[in-house]
Amino acid sequence: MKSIYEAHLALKNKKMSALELLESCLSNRSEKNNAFISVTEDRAKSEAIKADEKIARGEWTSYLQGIPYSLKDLFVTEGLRTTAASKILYNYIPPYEGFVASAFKNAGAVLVGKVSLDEFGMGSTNENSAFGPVLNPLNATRVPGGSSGGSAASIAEGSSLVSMGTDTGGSSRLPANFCGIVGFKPSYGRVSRFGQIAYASSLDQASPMGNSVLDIGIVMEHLSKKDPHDASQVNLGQMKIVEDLLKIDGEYFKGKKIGLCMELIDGCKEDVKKALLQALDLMKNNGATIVNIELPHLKYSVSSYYIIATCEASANLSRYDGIHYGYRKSHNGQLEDTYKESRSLGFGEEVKKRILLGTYSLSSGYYDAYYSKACKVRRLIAQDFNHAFLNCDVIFSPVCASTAFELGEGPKDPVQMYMNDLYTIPANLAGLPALALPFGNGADQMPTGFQLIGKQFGDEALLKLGRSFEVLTGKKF
Amino acid sequence: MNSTELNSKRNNYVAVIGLEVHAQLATQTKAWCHCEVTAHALENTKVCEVCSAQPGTLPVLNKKVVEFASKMAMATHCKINDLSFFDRKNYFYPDLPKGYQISQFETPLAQDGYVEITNANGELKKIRIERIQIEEDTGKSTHEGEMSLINLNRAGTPLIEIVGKPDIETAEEASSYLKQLHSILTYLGVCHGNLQEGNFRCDVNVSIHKKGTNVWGTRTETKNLNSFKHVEKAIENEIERQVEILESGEKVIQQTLGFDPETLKVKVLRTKSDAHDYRYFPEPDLIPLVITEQEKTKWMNELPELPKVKQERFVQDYSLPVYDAEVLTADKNLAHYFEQVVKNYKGEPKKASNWIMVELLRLLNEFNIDVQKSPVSDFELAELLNAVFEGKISGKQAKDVFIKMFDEKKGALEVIKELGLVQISDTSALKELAEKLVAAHPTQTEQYLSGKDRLFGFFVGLVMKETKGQANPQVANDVMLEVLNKLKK
Amino acid sequence: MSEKKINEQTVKHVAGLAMLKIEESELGPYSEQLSKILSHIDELEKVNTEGVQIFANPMRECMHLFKDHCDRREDEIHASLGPSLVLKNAPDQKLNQFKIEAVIAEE
Repeated sequence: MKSIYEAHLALKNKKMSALELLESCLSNRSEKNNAFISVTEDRAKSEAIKADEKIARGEWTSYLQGIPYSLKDLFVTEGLRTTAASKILYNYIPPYEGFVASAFKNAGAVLVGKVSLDEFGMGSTNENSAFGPVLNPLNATRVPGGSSGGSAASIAEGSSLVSMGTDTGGSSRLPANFCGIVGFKPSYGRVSRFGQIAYASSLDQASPMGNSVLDIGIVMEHLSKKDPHDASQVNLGQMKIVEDLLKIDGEYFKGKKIGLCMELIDGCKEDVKKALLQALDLMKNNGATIVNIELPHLKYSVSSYYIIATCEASANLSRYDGIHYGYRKSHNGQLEDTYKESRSLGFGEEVKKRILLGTYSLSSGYYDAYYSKACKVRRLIAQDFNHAFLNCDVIFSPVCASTAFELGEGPKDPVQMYMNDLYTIPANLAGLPALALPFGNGADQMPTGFQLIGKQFGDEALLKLGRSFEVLTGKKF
Repeated sequence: MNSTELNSKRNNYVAVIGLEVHAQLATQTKAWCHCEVTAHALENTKVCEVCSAQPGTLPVLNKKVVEFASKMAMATHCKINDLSFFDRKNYFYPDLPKGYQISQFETPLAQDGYVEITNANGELKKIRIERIQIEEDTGKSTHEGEMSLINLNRAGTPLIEIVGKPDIETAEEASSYLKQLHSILTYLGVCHGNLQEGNFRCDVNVSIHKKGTNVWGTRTETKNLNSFKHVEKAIENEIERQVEILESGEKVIQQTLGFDPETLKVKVLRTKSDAHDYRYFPEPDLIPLVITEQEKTKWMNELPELPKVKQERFVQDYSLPVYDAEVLTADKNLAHYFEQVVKNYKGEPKKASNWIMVELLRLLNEFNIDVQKSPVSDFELAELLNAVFEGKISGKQAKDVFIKMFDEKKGALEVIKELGLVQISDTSALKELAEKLVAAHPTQTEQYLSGKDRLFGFFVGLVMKETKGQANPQVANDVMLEVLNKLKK
Repeated sequence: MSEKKINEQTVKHVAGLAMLKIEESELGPYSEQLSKILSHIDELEKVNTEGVQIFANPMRECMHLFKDHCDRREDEIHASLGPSLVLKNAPDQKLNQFKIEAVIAEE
């Protein structure tokens, strides 16, 4: 497994060219895993060649120069098909470039392709893509997690060294956890959402996924600048963190207080629990203190999330109407039928279900009981975190109670399925940064891991802790 | 029911009228994106990824929208909410590409203001403004046989919706109220106020109830009127329609009506049961709208003299009747024009006012020219009026001169010269002429001298005819009187 | 048999609001699934939220970070996309406009 930093050193020391690096990634791509919706071989080759030319001239614009990456097909790329893994956008060629796509392009990275996801970000197994399910490269009978399953799979199979996913309720952390890689959800408002197809506007964040926390730091430097196209993005200035991360060692845990809600760990399967406790031990042995915290309203996260997210999604997806772009099923003479047929044939089942749920929750007579109530509970959850952070620096939590699910096993009971997100949703509700780190294996040899949740806009501190942990486990880059 | 019966029945009822005005803000760009706002552009040439609702796009608020909306709020005595919020109003329509309109539902920018109008009894009446909220305009659809075509140039244009309380009782009051709002908006420069281009549109809510009762009737809504005259007609027509319904024992149904500009009548569009469930909820892509004290102070200081104040000043300083002051101050540029004329005119402001209200406005309206682009400048009009004041030409002559000045964009003195119109005021020359004419008409002279006083007009007429109308009428009168009186002895 | 939280009639109504077409045969299953979810969500009723303000977006809680109005923009004209890009993905178009079945006069 290669990382950005490792590859960067190889390019710098002329051990390989960007074109060779790309070719090696392309050869790692497995059709079977079905991680990609669009492979952009020609563009990648020309970007790699350009990167090599610059390298030959001694010009280095960034660590990302010449590095093969993939983009979740929710990120709008100008002139390059962007589908949201939905039939309704199957042929959509964007007339503009989104922020994330632009950031990577300007950094000189090499786009391998647009990767698959659960349609519109709705799902946790990547089985909801209109382009077929994605397989977990570590075990073809398992799901890679979702909704950024394609991102995680492309890294795990080695066809990209870094990928941009998104995280609305755990969509980058869960697949990172299932595929044994790192997934980072920045604080809400830290990264511009311009050019990121919206699912739930107050919960969505762009999420770098990669093989190391150092790599995440490299990407975050590019993603953290203020974009005038997003009014909800704060202006905290561009992150400068790579140099710090390179210097971090295990010492960083000394004196740090790790908040722990033991009942969360108790809810996990034995093999996952074992790995979690070992991770905690490692931190303790390196100077951290475990502090018991309470998050009394956490158990209501899933309910609160599924109201808020579906309400926002129901409005965000209203623009897919078969009129201005996307799939259209014309009906003889009646506009309303065109709307209904286009949307019903264009959207998958899960998407339709969530639109119905959101529409219902906002409809006349139900706003107070559902949307309003859910938002009030959201505040209580956010307050729980604020309270907890008075006594700790970071909060430790599982990402999932088990290792990667079997394909097709997904519980038929929708509630059960939604409960998979219990551990990841709270950070989205409160807008906090969260870092999923791989650690250990389950009884089935599939990856296990945990997440650290940081204070609002404490992204740098969180990444440093994460880096310290990976250094402690022997990871260099 | 014939119209006399209708009228008498109508007098048993009181009308309750509430108006909602949508005013397009005169910003350079749209509410959420940098596309130019203009009524004159080829289809879909002022559209970007944001206002065409491409996937992944976000709205970013235009600073000027906040300034303009706030200024209107201040000028109408509203209380500005230091913190207001944006909401999504959800419904499907092809000219609304997002499938929702960004608006302000729960907490708008401003509340509880008013404008004052003069009612039928000449009394001042406050029409209260419930709220002013910021929102966006939709695109436009046009028919093409069995299909429709959508142009998004207008989509995302910033609007303020001004919601008036139902304090209005007659069509005339409604018209006055709208003209006041229009006037204030254009004075502030926050709205271009061009009704034909749709800068200022009005929805009218009307209900009636029997005089003496306190229970209000069911109201109907007539949407999208863009002319003051149409608003008056729509209200009158709707009141009549409701009176007829109630008098025949039926009930008024809550409906949305349209207005047919051909027949000048209202027509049913849809009934309430088809009304939308807008599912309002807070707009997650925009943060709350904060108005700071500094901003409020700055904008307050930038407010120009408002129409009502200017009107009062005109009555006071120029001794103008209220009607004149109202007409002249309805348009800030017209008011300025008037004041500039008065500055240079030696006579009474009332004369200048008459001239502007009658002669100038007539031609400006006929040729659809804005006063700012008037072919006769305020300085030139003052010159013309001074020529009359000084007796160089008569008032009647001045009218002809004015038309030529307007048509050919020439100055007063130039045209007067061209037409050879210098008025004859020379007393001795006119006296000589008068004597000559009297001598040439002995019969009439004798008749006049023997008592037929009415023939005096005949003699003055002769002078005017002989001088081709250029004689100063007052002087002609005086000398003829003198000449004839001399003969009496 | 437990009473369904959201019956087929309601599903139909909601689908209408959302411009979705649900076949008669699908109404049952949707009603079933949505009812299950809503029944679970009812747990929120147990939470005491008296006096609690709604939390609509994390940024509404950080207003001090927007003091410089970095969420707003200047009133400056930038070039628009041009009709060919705007209509690039239009399923049907004519005369540089989006073409659709006739709209019933709402305005």
